[in-house]
Amino acid sequence: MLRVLLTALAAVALAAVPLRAQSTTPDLVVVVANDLGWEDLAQLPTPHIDALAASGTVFLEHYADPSGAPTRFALNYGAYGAREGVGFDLAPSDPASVGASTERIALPRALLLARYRSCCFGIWGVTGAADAQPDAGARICGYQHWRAGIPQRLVPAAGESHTNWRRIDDGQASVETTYTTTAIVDAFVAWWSAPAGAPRLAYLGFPGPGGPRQAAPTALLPVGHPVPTTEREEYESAVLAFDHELGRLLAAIDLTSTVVVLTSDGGTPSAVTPPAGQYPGYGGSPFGGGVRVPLVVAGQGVSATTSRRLTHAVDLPATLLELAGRPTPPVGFEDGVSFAPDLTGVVTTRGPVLALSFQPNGAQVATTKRWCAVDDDGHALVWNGTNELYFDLVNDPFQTTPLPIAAPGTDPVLDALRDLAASIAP
Amino acid sequence: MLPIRALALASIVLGCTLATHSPSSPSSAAPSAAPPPASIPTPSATGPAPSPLPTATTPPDVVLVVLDDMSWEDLFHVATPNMIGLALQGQVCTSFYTHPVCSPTRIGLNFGIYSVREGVVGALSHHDDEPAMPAERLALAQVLHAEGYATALFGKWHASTAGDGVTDENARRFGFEHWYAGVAGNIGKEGVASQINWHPIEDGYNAPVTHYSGDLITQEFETWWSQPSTRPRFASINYTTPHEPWTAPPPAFLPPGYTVGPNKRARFEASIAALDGFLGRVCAAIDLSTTYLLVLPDNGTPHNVVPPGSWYNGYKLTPWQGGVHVPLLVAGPGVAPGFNPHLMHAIDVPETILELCGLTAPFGFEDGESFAPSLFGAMPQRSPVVMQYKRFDPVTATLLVDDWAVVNANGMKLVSDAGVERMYRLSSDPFETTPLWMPQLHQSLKAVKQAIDP
Repeated sequence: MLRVLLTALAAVALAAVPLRAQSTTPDLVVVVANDLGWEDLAQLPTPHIDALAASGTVFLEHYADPSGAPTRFALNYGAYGAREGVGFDLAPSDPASVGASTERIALPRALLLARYRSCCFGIWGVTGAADAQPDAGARICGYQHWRAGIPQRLVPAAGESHTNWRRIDDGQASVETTYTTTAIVDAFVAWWSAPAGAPRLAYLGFPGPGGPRQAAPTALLPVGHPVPTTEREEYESAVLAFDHELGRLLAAIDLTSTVVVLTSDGGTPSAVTPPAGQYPGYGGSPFGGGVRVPLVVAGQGVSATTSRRLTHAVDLPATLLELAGRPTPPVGFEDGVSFAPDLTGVVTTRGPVLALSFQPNGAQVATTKRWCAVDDDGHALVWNGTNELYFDLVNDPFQTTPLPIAAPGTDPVLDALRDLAASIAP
Repeated sequence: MLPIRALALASIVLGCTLATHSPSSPSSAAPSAAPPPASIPTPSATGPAPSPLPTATTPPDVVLVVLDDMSWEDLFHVATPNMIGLALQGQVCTSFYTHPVCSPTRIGLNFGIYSVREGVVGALSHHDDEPAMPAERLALAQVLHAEGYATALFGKWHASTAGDGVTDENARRFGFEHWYAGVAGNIGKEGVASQINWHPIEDGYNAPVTHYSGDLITQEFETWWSQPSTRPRFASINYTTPHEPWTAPPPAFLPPGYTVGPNKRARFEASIAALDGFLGRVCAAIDLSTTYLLVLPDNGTPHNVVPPGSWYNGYKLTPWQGGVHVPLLVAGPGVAPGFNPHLMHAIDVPETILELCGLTAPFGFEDGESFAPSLFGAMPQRSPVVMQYKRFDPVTATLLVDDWAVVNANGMKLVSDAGVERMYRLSSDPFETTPLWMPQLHQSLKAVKQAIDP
């Protein structure tokens, strides 16, 4: 369990212990859970996640966006979704939906020049039907393969559930009744176990533990686990199943030659907030429960420690490129700052980050906006759609007591956060 | 018309004589060969450059124009003033080879490999569920895109199948951020399909149009190219003509007063005349002081519309010169006009473009050898090139045709046609009329083919 880590959210960082320097170009595995919050990990027994966290670096000040699509965009392009008008989940059946431009260089294409082979699994969620045929999206953007693929998300209105869904395998569609988390891990293990002869990038977008609320298969739960009766219990069962299957995924990986990243596209769903829910807002909101999400990095050369380095999903591509020994491409990747040094105990800093969602997608004026700008001193300026709220996360990590807001031009720290939001948000 | 005929004749008759730097080559052929290094314009030259390539301060744009089925001999029958103009402005590569069939050449143009390495030895059916090109293959446009180039494909792809992925998206997987006026394979058969009524792919989706293919492909290119770009650009323009269906081009795309004859050879020639107009539009859209332009067909004249004179032993689908020896025109910054006799193959094009852009490929392209230095001066001889075509019985999978040829830098050619292997000296026998008894060279050229396809 990660109760200890939750406590550490408000505590000082532990001393960093650098491991041996990395010797060869590592394989890279990026695991993106859907709607998984710190508090869920603190509440539930998740032995595989705990073991991974214990062996690697846990980033306590990590941010995603209040919507999945901009987070997934950031994880793949190293730029805020707003750069391409991606502010909110793309509509699965809208032929006019526009997301990431195919003109952008995505992480797998940049890594191709370092000989990396690549495969996307599960949810892509970044390109719209107007950008590319939905069944080809992840591959158009640079993943050589796309297995157990889901173009946007599961669509209950179309009869989809975690055990009855349309899967895409390199452009071929079929109906799958295996539980999504299991099917995606199966696809990963099959790809990973084949000899490659080159370094690899696997990017896994799990629809669980979020997505349609549904009890996980009993076989994936601890013996004697009670049958879920509430939506929260169904969600919790999906977290346990995710951890169970993550164990299978990790068993297929050699952590001495692989760097594994575990994160989430957003916080706990607002409909199933944790019992002891301490944040003013959860999934979809710009408060900590919606945007401050787990980030664990473990494997080759990664220290076993915690880091308070401020990070955002947008930092991941630059980090992985640095681990792969590739320079950042000449265009794109404009918002990310690599945290690769922090994986070996070096402490770096970065400017403020912006967690942002908005609607509608595209270049037009946003009618709805939610954002949180945070700097590495723990100052957080939140726009909840109606008000600005200012917090000191060092002394008030759960955002219980807003601070007075100074007028523009009087508080440089506040102004910097405002300026960031104004420069990025549409 | 005379100049292009002279160029074509020179290419056919002299090409392989020029294609040698060996002591045995007649020095009398040299005057029209590649210009001496001293004449190379170097845009940013501040002193003697160690590299033969011009050193540009900004990466160049690149436009690759691929015609579908045309050989040197066809240029004797059709007025092509724009090709002439380009040939006079740039270099006429006189020893350029392709495979005698579409898909292998296009795989070569994009991946820099002999396609037999991936089991592709004939024209692919883009409807086929059997995968063709592995996603792990590195493509030219992928490298350019990842290095910051804007990339777009116009027209035909024909290097993937439905088994490889979503048919209308297969080209974009290999690095083209846009695919306009696209065709996954061929438009269709003579007598059934039409170059005017077809289903162009526009970034993943096809819809019917009534618009002559060559004009639409050119128009889409003009539109894309005219947009301001902060990035250097790579456009691959792949016309679907003069390949069948030999639809008579609308008069608007032909010279004034051009009358299209009724038979398919006449419509084929009219398609070339129309293409020449489209090439003129491409040339008008680009700036050759900052853009490298390469124009080439994917293979020779179709076997069912052979030229009236039929000088060659065979055309498309055969390893004879009429199927594999085709024109290549190159123009751009620092490329001095003249003949370029260097031995080249379609598989050399990707690495040549990369070198012109100042880039290298991290892996792949293992059969290609950049000929970029030859555009600016002398360079070492290329190793022998291989051309191949195989056909299998669709039901029994029995190998019905297994023809191939190997040409070396001295213009010596080994042809295997229906299992009969013959040697020719192209410099004195460009039409392959007189087989030679050269057992040692025969064996060494055969070994080249066997090294890639035992």
